[in-house]
Amino acid sequence: MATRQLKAIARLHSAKLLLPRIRTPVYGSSVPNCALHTSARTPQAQPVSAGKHSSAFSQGQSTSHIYDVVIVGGGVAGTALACSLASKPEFHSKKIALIEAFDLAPVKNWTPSENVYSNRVVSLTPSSVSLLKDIDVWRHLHQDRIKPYDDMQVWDAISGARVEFNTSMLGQGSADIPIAWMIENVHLQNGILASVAEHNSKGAKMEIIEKIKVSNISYEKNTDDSATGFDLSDWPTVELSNGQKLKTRLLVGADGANSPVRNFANINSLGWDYDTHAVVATLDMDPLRSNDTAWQRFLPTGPIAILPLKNGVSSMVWSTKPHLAAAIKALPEDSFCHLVNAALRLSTADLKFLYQELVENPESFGSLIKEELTWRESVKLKSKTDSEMREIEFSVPPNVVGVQKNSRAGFPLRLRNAERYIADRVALVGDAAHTIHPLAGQGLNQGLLDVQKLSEVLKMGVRNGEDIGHIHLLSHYASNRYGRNVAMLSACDKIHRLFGTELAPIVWARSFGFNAVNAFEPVKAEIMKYAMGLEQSTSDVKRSTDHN
Amino acid sequence: MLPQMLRGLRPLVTKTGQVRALSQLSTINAEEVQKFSAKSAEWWDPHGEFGMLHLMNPTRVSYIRDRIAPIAQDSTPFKGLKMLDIGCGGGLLSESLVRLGGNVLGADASYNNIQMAMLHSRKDPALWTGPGQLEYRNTTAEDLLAEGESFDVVLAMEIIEHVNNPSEFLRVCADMVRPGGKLLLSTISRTPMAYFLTNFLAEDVLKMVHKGTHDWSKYIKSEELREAIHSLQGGWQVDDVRGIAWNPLRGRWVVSEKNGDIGVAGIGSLEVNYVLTASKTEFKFFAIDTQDWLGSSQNCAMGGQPY
Repeated sequence: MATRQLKAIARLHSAKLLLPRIRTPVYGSSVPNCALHTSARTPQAQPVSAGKHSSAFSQGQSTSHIYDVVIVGGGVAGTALACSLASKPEFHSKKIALIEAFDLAPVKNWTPSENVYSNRVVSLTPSSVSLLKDIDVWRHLHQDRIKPYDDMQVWDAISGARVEFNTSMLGQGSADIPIAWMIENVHLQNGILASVAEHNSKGAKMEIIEKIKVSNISYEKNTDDSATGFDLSDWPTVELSNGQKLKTRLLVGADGANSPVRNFANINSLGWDYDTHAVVATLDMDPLRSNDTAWQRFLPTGPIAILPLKNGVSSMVWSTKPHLAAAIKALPEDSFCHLVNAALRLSTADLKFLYQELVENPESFGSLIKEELTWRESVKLKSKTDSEMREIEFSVPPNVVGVQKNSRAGFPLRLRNAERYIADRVALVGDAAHTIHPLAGQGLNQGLLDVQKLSEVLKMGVRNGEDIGHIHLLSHYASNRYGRNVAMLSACDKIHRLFGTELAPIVWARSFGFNAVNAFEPVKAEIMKYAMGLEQSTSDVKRSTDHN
Repeated sequence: MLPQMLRGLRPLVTKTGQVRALSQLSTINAEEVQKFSAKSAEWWDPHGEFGMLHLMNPTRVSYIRDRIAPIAQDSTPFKGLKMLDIGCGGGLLSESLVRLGGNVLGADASYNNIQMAMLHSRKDPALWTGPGQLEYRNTTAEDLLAEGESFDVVLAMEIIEHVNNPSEFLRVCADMVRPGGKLLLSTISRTPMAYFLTNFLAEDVLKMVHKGTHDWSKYIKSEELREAIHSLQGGWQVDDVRGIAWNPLRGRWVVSEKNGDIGVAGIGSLEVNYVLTASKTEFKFFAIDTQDWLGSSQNCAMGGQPY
């Protein structure tokens, strides 16, 4: 009666596949494949009593190489992801490792030295700062070593058109919100590692494997695990230079622009190289002027940005043609400072002449630039009233008075975007996923937004008992980040191209656009919110609250 | 009666939290593995016929978690709970419950399904290293009841619409729930909307699943299920009923935010998929000579308490 009727119990299609009722033995107490074997051979076997396999033994050695998450790359994105996961109780019972090829001791032991700043700095947006607060990094940072700014001046060298951004225009109560916070990368990473250590002291088990390279990543036939009965043939196997092999449920590539993880996952990176190099340097500025503004001047050869680090110290990013970048980088200190001041003040015609001299007569460039700058400036200020001179002076950054030793460096500019951010059991974050033109200072911030979204998605996966390497789960990360990153990449690319031209109609159009934007506050506020990541964070909050 | 109930308390697996009996693992029956691994891979293919079910799984697990352990913040909220996943299929739900710490029995009347589930469970060591415990059995609900099995939580997800005598199936499932425990069901309502989506669209037009997967006449309306549960022996009450719907814009299944909201946009006649939680009254008189196990059973069967 009921027996016959209930035999039809099956999920979805299983009813069709009903076979003679065969009881399979309990196999929680034995092993998966063993049970399969047994059931096939002895279909009528009675359930094995639970106590029968009491000869249980510790599996410690043979499962110690099995990880839930392996993060490759100990840069800002990689360590921030490690920290974000370690900060969540859901991951305390998970086995997670971060692998970094270099020694992290110099980062861990870093201490600020007054007035000397690293040339690798980042401008953190409010959404990045809120992530850093959420994962307990912010309070590990030296607050007096972080420079917030709430004013940004962007102007076009050809037309002189100017946009000034100030957070006071965001509306009531936002007057004291900085646009961004300047911080040295090494300082940020120092704070992240300190926070990871603290999370570890509170129950997290974040393993940091440093000074060890990843020598190979592959899928392995299940030979190693025949002993345990597991089938991990679709789990990535990470081979380390010390011979260790890690098998992982999820492999995260935070391993930079030439990501080996991305190569392993057969994901192409699309994009192009700009015919542009960036020169970075730490500058000593006129200490008599306050230093609370970020400056960016668009030159036909690329933008030059001066970002405040503290009173009297700023960071420079000057994007220009590769041959000029090389020459600028090699200049004697005083000539270099004069040229930077010239790039921020002189007309594009004057600059063209200076570039020509720089390349053709490098020996005499030192005396030339000094004279040129003084003369051009005096002409510009001739017959101006005091207040007019003041206005001119305050429309450009403070004078550069020195450049810090060994702070000059150069690198080529690229735009890259991985064709996918995920594959089965693989996710890419930061530069491994995308490399952006630095003109908006968004690269590292994009990476931190990746970290925030990925860790949120993984947390949701753990809460729902999902396999956190599964493509269905990871697709929530990719679908959230891909479009946003592409939008930011292409916006920065278009700005680069727009300002790379001296064609009159385009110059006219862009200066009209600049002046129009400057005159129309609501538009400026929207642009600024976008660049500050504010739009992003509010929509994310909405998403996460209605997520089920 | 009592000995029978106590027998039901036998742990499904011993609680050592270790992977065991490694010596036996080296003997794999290659033929059997080969036969089922293709089937298993097909069942578990994220983009295959069961794709929609895979996508529904996190949503329904999230619902189960909210009903059973709403406060727990850790990764093993079901730790110590004995759970039955009746009609476990390829083990989709069972695996998730084990990862969340549950002591899970996945049961299915289909031998094939059980083999696929077992084979797939080898792909995740976390299912075997504890604290969650997993067992699959090729058996039926009524046989489990006859063997005296009982559970803190019985889950009959997407199954009651496939059985021949749903009210008898419901009674058998309910009888396996320990006093203070919970019964969770999810199914499809017998509305024109459900016919349109599951029979016409999914089977005939989009061919997402093969013809005959769904039998509209077997669908049960949420009101009918609610009444059937209230008429069960043993002091049953329905705690919660909600609709669960595919949101094409967000690419995921979403459970209604409010208890009682079942149909699309809250319209009862538009109800399609829904999920229901019922709880069984605790009988204090059992405590007289079985203080020990009832105590643990109460703790486990919580009803919203942290553990």
